[in-house]
Amino acid sequence: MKRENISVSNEVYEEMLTTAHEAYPYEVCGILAGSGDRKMIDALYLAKNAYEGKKEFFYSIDPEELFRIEKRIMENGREVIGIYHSHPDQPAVMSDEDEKRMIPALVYIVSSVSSDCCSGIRAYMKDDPDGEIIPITIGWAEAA
Amino acid sequence: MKVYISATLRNYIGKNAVLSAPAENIKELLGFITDEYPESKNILFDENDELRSFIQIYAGDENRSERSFWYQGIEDGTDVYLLPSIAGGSPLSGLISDERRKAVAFDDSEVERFGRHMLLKEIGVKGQKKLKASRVVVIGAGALGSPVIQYLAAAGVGTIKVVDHEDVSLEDLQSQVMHSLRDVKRPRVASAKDTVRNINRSIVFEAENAVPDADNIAEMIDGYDLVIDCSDNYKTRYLIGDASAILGIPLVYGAVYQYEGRVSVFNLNGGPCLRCANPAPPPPGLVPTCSEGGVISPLPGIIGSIQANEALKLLLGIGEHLDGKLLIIDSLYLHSRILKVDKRHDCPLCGEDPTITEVQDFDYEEFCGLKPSGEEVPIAGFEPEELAKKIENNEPITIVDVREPHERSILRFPNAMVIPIGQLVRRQKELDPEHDTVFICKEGKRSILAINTLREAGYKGPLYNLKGGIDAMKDIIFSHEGAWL
Repeated sequence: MKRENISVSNEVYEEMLTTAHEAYPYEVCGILAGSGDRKMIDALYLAKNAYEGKKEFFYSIDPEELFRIEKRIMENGREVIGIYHSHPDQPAVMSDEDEKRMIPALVYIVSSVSSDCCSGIRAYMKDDPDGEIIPITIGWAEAA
Repeated sequence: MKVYISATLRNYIGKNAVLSAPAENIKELLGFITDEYPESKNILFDENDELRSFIQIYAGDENRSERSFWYQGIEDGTDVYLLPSIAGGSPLSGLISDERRKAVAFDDSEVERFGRHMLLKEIGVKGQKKLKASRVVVIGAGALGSPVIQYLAAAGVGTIKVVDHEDVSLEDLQSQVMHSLRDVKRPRVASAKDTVRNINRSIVFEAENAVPDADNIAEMIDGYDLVIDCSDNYKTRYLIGDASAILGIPLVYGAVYQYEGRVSVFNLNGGPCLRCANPAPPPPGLVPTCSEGGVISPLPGIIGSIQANEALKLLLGIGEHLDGKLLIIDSLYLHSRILKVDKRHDCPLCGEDPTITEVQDFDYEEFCGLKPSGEEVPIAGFEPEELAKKIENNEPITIVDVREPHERSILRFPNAMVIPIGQLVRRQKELDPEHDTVFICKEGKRSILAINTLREAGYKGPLYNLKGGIDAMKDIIFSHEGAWL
């Protein structure tokens, strides 16, 4: 399950930035999916930010919606690879809250967005629930 | 049972999307999964064998993740779902958005005034601008409010609203260092306004001379970034706690009594609320307020300063906070400790199935079970005049004083037995069930608690309450003594 890099299709990359911008000042969130070999993320399934409170600083995905999204991903013959969310006005690093809720073996992509631009996009994962978070390199690629 | 496993967790559970598990309940299901797929144990449970916070178990559409549901049988045909709770947040950024910060400008005098804040790398110019953009409401302009309001003003918080309905009295000056002799008989909010204006005239000061109640509390705090509770009674504390939790405004809580003070932060980032720490206030009278129980002069200064410090850190988004923690300081023996406050899933206010969804002007006495309901035996009581007459006529009555020693030392009730409420049940044999027994306290509330306690313990003799307590009896003059009490 260890990995040092992940490829993201240009379309998904664009979509991550546009949706983060559209959701600003709130956090945007969604599920990242890809082909069975798990080498490339080529689909973003947006989810509603179901956090009850300051959506500027927090996100959560309703478990029922997650279940429906997972079904759609399966029907499309894809695999869940990770989770995407944005940090409005904040750097693209994993926050304490992100870290606490991090599910091992999933790729977490975080973007930093402000009212006028997107300043960064980074990926992280961990192998073990109590293990360290490892930053991973994102490679951009044309969808196959 | 049929178990659906989220794709996000499947890697550790044999990559199965659906499992058929020979289990009757959640406990058996988790046992089955960890036996079959040992690598799942580390994902599902932490080192203390608690289910990890991101694991959620649903039976149908009911969340059964709490351990208390694990032994409940699951009906045939109900599907079980093992889903993660996917959530997270931004890095700590404080309560003030960048946009609001950027809208703030400083003049030269402000750069000079706040230079020592700007020297701190965690605050700097950006942090100081956040403080100027902040809107904070302080409820209570008394002992705790004094340091809180003055430090918020000194620190450069841009908008400060102060709510208090009382006038400054002479006894307030013992601990309310914001007010001075010339403020006596003036509204506390007026004195607070003068104090703030003397510190910094560019602060927007909003005064509200009102008693918080269910109808006005939401309006009082809505639209502010932070609420600071500097009140001195449980009714107001719970009103503030409920309203701030419902509106999602973080609350800095503070309380002092005699030599002990407490500080906590509630409603922060989905963390615990006041009712998670204490689901309901204690019975009225059981815990006296400062005006009844006293407080050592500098204690509110210590506690209020910590409240102000927490408030500034929250607004700035720096350091660690007391959310999920309760700081207790004993100023007599100089002990302090921090207790953990967990978010309660069954919290009546912020839990999964809340029973409190709007602020209600709960009748404090009824709420605490002190007002007799229809079915209960009503508590008989004597008016002060009736009791005085019985004392004058030497009727065979037993008078029991349930007040604390320090209260008795201020005002002694002649010929009364002294039994603290905590010892009543054990010492009930000292009472004569053939005679009338009258319970007295300061305001006639703790004495009701005493009577209820004895009745519950099975005491059969006649019990009476002194209505209005000793406070109501002060003006009675006894013929044989001239001025009595």
